[in-house]
Amino acid sequence: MIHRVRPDDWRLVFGYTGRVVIGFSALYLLPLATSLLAGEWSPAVDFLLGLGLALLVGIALLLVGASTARPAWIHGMVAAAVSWLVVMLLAAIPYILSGHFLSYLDACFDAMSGFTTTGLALIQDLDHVSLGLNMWRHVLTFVGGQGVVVLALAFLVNDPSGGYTLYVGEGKDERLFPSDIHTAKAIWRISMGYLLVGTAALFAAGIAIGQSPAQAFLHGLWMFMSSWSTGGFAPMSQNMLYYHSALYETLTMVFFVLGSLNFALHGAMWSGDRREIRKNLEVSTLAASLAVLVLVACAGLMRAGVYPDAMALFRKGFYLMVSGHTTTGLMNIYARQFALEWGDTAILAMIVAMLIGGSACSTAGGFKGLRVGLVAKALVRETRRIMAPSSAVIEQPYWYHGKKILDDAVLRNALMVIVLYTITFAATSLAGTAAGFPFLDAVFEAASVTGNVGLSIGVTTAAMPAFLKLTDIAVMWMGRLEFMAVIALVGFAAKSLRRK
Amino acid sequence: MSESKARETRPLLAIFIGMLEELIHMAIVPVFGLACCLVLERLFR
Repeated sequence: MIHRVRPDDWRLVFGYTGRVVIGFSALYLLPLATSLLAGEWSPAVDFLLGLGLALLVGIALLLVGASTARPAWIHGMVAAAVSWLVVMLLAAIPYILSGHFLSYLDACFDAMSGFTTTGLALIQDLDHVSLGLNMWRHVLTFVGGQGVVVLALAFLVNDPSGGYTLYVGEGKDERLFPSDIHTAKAIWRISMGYLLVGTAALFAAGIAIGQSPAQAFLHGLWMFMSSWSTGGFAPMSQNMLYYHSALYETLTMVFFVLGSLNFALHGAMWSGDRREIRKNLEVSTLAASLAVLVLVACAGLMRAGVYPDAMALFRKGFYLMVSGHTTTGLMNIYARQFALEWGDTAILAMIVAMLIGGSACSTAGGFKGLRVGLVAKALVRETRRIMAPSSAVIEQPYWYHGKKILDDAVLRNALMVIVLYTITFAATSLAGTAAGFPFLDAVFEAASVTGNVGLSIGVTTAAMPAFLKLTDIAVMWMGRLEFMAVIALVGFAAKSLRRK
Repeated sequence: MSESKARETRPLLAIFIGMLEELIHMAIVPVFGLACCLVLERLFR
């Protein structure tokens, strides 16, 4: 435990942040290459400027970060929180230089929305942005899904002592391998493996719906990145509606369900452990909650006569519910159709689905299925305890990468994160109503922002007040990092200010 | 060889089969959705 934060502690934090920023700066090369290949000279200059600035900031942080302090748990956590803020500010540079944003705040909003795989967007005239800028938007969301820190760990940080806390600080607290660096590399291997398969499948679907090969490839790549990372960005302003294709919708649905699963589960499946997917507490919790919420929402939609037949209900109602539950946010209706057509039952089911979210240690947001499953198991345990004789010892087993017994410390941690999400959701809803939006609209959008979903009922536009944009940026950041790193940063900053 | 080392050095074909199995498992989601929608259509029409 640190009793007093000294300049040396901050230097250590800056050192880690510098390494993450330098790792991040390599990403500019992808949109830069895209722009150069497409002959888009002006966007290419924007990316060169962004790359130069990121390298400059990264090197400066490394130079400042030469420290003799011993790395502790809190340094990695604080560095993870600070890194996400610094990369947001840097990622917004090509955005604002493109001329497609009304302010730097809007550019930062889209950068944070991309990194946190939320998918809400304030970009203007999306249908006419350069290929390079669209590549940048989707690369940000793809990397954000895996984690900025995971990227740096996989390719740049070779420091076992600080690596794990950085990794945990990013909201990923499971290891696929004993080493964090191997875990980070495995996460990237899994994602790149699916990137190849997914892009090929969506390329074929694009050709089938009449796209040119180049367009089918780029849209396939971007829509896979968006689906797998449960992001929600799309290259066209109509989002999924642009494609008008049941095949495209079904393929993206499979990919975003995959993306919402735990990386450790992918690792287990890829190594031939088939029983994990059938016995895993998180998978069964998510399957149960998705089944119940989909049935409630679709029954509400069918009863209200919103969609005329089963196919329309499947392509709109079911697709959007799965998109919301996996915290993807891909939309194939217009935002205001939620408010004007869906009705209260379906909207409430959607809000609950968005709050529950996907899996722990995945690209998804929300409470996470594991925590909800643990709370459900605790309820079962307490019911059994009431029924049993007072002298009985009640143990509640569950399966999660092996048989485990429900532990009070694990349960306390799960409940704490759920409570923090709920408080944040309530505060964001309040901010929405304070900005003058109707109650249900404010609550829907707050659930979407808190769970890093990206579905919109029409609240998120460039015209919304600056304080709401700032609130949403902070909430997306906290939600993605699952609060602990942000709490560590606040505590660290408070201790720095404390006098001797 | 440790379990984690064995995982890392798994042959490409075995990984591909694992990936395919995972994709097949995920295909249950749209099939379930379509079945639900067909049932609901019958119930509410």
